[in-house]
Amino acid sequence: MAHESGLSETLRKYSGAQKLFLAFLRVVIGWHFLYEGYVKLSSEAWSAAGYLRAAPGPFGPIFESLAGSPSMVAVVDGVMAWGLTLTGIALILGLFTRTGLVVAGAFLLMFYLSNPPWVGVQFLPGEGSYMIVNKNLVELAAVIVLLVFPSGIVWGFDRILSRR
Amino acid sequence: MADNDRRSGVNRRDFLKAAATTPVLGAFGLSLYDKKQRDTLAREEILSIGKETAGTNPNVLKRNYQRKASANDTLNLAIVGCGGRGKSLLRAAGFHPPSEEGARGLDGAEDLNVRLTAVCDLHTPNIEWAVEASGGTAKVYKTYEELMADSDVDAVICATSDHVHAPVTIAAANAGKHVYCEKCMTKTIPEAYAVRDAVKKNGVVFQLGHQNRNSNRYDSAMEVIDKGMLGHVSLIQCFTNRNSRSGAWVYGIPKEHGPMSASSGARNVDWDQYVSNTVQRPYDPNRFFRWRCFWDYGTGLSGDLLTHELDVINMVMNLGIPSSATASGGVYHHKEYTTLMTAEGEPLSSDVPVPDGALPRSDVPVLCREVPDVYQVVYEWKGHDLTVVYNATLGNSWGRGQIYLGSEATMDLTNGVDVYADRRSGKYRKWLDSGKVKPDEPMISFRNVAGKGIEAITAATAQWTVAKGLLYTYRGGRLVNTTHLHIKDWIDHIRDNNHETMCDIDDGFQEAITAHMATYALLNGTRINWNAETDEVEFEHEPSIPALS
Repeated sequence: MAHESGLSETLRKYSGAQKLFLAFLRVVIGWHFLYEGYVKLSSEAWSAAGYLRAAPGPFGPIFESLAGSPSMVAVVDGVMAWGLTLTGIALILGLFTRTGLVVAGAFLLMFYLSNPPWVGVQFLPGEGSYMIVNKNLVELAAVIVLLVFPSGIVWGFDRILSRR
Repeated sequence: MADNDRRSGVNRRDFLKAAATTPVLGAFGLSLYDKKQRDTLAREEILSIGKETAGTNPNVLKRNYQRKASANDTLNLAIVGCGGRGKSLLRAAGFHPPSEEGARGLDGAEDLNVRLTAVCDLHTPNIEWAVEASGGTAKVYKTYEELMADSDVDAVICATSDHVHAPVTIAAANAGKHVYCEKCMTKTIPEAYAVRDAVKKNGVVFQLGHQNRNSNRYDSAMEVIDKGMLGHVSLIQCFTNRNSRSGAWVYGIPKEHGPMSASSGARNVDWDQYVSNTVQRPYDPNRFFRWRCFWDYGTGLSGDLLTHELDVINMVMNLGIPSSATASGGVYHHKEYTTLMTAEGEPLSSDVPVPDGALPRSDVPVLCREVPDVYQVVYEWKGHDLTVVYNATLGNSWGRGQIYLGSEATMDLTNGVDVYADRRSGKYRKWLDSGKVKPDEPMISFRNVAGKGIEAITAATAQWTVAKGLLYTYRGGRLVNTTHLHIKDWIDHIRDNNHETMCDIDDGFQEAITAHMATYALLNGTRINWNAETDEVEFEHEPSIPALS
């Protein structure tokens, strides 16, 4: 509790706008994760298998091995769809925010490494133009920022958990 | 006050702050509901337009044929011609030597309950492969005529070079044996009539080898056409794009080869029988192993690749034979080809890149092809007020699909089925104006996608092949070999004694005449017409190429 009260002391130094936009950042990332998860859960045709098999770059073979068997693919698909959905809900509500952010960061790191826009890597085409930095990396950086600021305690159910 | 709140744990202010972002979930749900309503509404409205027109294409009924008879009796198959395509057909039917892997896309497929009982081929290693694939039990015949006398053969797969398709099919039909024949059905126009007569007279079940008819994308495409969603289709564009040695039919030639009549050497090619029904020439390995490059044995781009496009267009649109054909083209890219070997004298499987020290092979002459590698054909269907343009180059692999241009909408079969409303359409005016339909976004889109946990093909080139249906399609979310489906369709029809196979003799006759009209137009430099009333091809002068007469 000493740690939490220390945090509260720190939070008191932030301006209202700083706290507001930290929460805003958390909520929009949550929204993004929730919709990505919802689309995968609701689509009968969706599978990560195609993406995993096409993964370019130095980590390509690792991702490809995840698509090795139908049972493995089923596990990956389940983890992806439910992981994204639950992480999204957690980040919007500010509930188990730190766990949610760690999971979100892990997902984003995987997405980044499975299709790295590095010079010399034939990365998969998508919208936008990228060199080393892409939207996955920007979102990952935002998640890390949130991890080092306790935004769930300002606006979110973690506020209640931290008081118990 | 604030201190009191903190001491008592959670107060009202804390709770409000804790739940401050919860309404966002509500906003998310509302947005989702709104989005689904709009998407569903637009989809139902678009589909309701299609319901206005009644379906008339009988080919729709041919798809998803369900066998009625039991498959308890084993059916005995023979193969005539067991080269590259013949081996693929046998693999798709479940036959392969024990040392080799089976065909992809057969997992979970129904056992066809067939045996391979007889083999005929002109190249000894092919015979050995097929006998091994049969489990060592198939009888070997030197000629297809002798094979047809074998009462232990119920049905024949013909995968020879094009110039023997008709003789083999006619002999099989006359012997009362059912036939699966590779495309192009025949090499000449007169043969197309002879094959049709023989198959119909003898009442055998015939299937022409256009396995891509089985791709499930054509179910969607035919529904779109059948419901009149495109309006008046005035132009269809179709293409072939290849840029590789094997794509230009320059196949590998084994290290050991030679005619059986030679006094020494490998003596594993029955050259005399090979040329027995065409122009007599001395042994040339290019003409045997790369026969598609020559008019004496093959039908060029018309028979090999144009037919894949025109056959499915005929299935989707139910057009029959075009009223006229004109064609142009030539040997523009693959003019001469020198066959190379490694410095150690081993045949090269690929020339890209040419290894250091590679040498020309003295046993293979320089290949100078006769059939065009760049080709354009224009067909007219007067009764449908429709033009179909086919063009191909074997010197570029940029993928172009099949595009149906209608007065109300465009259907693009490049990656699946995409239907775009025409920006000037009257039928879709309301939806275009309201923004529910955008002219540059498909209003209907069908993709062959793997379901959850199902094998998927992801390399760009393989995806294109899946889209075209030449190798694989999907059934119930599972990757399926289309050649297997095509052979199964034939065998199911044999068991039911039903002649209306997926690509039956009437489809085959139309395919052959359509292909040959283009070839004859090219070689004679003239327009070729089809007279539907007399059931005859009309051209200004007789073919001047001996092999086509």
